[in-house]
Amino acid sequence: MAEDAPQLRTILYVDDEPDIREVVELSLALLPGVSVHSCESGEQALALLPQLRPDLVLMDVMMPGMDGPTLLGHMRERADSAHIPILFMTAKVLPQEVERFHALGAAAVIPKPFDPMRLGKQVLSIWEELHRE
Amino acid sequence: MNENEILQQQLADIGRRYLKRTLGELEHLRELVASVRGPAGCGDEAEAASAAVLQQVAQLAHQICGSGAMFGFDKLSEQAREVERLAIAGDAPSRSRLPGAVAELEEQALAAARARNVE
Repeated sequence: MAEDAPQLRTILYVDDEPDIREVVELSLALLPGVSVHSCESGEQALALLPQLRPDLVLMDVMMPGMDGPTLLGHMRERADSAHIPILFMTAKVLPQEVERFHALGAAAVIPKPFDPMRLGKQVLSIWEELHRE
Repeated sequence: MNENEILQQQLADIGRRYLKRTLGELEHLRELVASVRGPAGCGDEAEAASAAVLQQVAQLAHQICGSGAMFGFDKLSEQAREVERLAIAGDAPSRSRLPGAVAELEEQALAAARARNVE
């Protein structure tokens, strides 16, 4: 990890698809010193935030009920989560869609399908980049 | 085995579980599609019911598509995306193509299951 980036300790992943949650947990568990938690909905994520206090939240965009952008909006309204960087993981990666996600406040967009063997390095690289700015 | 090899083994196991579950879900998908009343515009109540069913079809197909791509079942994922597209479109021609699209999706799932020795 870059010297000026604080240690990434806790990640929360939000996705309604259980297989993808399991794959993300396994992939990110390879990151040294990082604990990974997941949940299936935006509502559950909002309930978990105060106790988990994640350093980073990764989320699917298209979820039934509360979608990713709506969850992002709720997180930005709360004092305990407004500062948490949010990464979208989505199959919607046309340039105009990615631009929209950034305009909403996403720190990065990771395309789906992703390579489980590389996801950890991708996330770490984004984390370090965020702290270089 | 090193960490990466362990992860690859775990991913293969999850992939096989996904296929097994998908084969069961496809039966449900087939039943949902059979219950869609067509053509579109056949009465408010029936149309609302069909719209609700099509939404379920689209959601289920979306899940199959997303996870399928994750595990490298590209043809299965593409066909699930086609089912999702038809369900979202919901017009009369799309509804009439849905049963065939779901049948093709089942074929792709069975082919993938055979290739991975999943029963």
